[in-house]
Amino acid sequence: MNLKQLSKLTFLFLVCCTVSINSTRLDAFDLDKFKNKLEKLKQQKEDLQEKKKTLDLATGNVNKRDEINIGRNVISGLLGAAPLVDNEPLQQYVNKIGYWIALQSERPKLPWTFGVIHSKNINAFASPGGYIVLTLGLYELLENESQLAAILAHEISHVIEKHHLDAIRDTSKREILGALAVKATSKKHREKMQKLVNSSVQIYARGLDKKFEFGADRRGVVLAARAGYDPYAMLDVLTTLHSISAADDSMTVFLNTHPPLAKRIKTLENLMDRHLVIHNIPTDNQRLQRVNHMIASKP
Amino acid sequence: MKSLIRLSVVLLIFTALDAHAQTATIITQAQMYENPSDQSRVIKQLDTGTQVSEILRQGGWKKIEHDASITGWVRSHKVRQGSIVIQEQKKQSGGFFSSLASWSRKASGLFSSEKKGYSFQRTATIGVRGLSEEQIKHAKPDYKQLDKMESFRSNNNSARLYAKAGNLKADKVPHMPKSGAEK
Repeated sequence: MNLKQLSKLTFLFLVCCTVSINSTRLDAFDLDKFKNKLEKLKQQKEDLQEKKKTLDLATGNVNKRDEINIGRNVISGLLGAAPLVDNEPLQQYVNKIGYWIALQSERPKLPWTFGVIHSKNINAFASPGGYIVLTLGLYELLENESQLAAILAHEISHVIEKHHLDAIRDTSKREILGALAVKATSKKHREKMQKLVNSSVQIYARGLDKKFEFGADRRGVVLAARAGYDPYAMLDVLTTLHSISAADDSMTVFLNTHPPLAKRIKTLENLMDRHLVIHNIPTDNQRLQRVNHMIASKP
Repeated sequence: MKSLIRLSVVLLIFTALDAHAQTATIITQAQMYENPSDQSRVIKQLDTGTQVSEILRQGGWKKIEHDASITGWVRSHKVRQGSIVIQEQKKQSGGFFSSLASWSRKASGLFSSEKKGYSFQRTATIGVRGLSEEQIKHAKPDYKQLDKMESFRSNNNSARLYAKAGNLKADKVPHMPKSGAEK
């Protein structure tokens, strides 16, 4: 070790000593003051975050975490209107198919969650953040897995395009949206949430702008095709629904909130004739039929 | 002997044809076209409930044979495989609707299963629940149901394995341009 190195080491040692003496002094004399300051800074940071969130939500810049929290609260409202069908194999089946289709989408990393809800009404709902339900009444009309995929892909498209999130944002006050973007954990918190949820789920009774339904039809068939399903199955589903008359009250909300089925069918036919590029039409894998058989035959 | 061979050849051809053609039903009034395009000549108008043979599928079109004599193309969603009896049912309000939906329900086997003692009604409907407009607006959020729903969530691996088991192959399909209805 030469002289130069030794002097460097000595310098470093002195620096260390000074720092440690200083911090000891801090421990002894200024700890409370320091703690207070830290507390104040923390508070300021939280206030700023809160303000930023309100601003973001108002300007349409809802981050992913807020979107998921809004979606969880909103879907809880729909689950309050109609609970999940008490059948694990059915729920798992729909979740696997839905997740696989969502993997082909532009937002594969959302927490995609699906459910069949107990209602004889015919409908399906998409909540922000990737929460999707369809009614048992609709599920029972399906003939094969491609038709199930068609419905899930349509709803997934609503989430990808943030149709409901935008609609809730546009119709809610900033404070409501901000409060809705919170993960409700405690019982008290959850009870407070009801008013907020009630005001936001109105969108499902009122329906989206009709152009968003046409948009979800257009994107949905492509997502289903990407996932390896027969994309024309969406037309099968729409035709089946069209065979149920408006006099059937299981369709009331659906018909009030969606464009006329004849127009949806015609629009999709034209689009797919002209623009759909697929390599082959896959044959049905018979899985939906097997799952239904299993569900029906199990006591 | 020669005629017997000829007969069996004819029979063989018929069986081969049969393997391709499948019984199908027109489920909503459909035009039968000369080619798989609605720009081509209309051969015949087919009524709901007409039984046909499905010969070929090409994109959104199916080639069918009617009355064992005429062949042509119809939109694929207007034909379903199998022999389906579609009854026109009269509703009290005066409107008619075809019972295609009730046929689907029967085919799904879920409704009929109620007779066997299994029923989806097991989840008791508590209080004012349902999906009418009013019920949606006033529903009390159910976070226990949310927890349950999240417990069924799939994941990357499980979804991919399940897709493979179902012979599903991901394909690169580009999005289509917006239609006039979206503008």
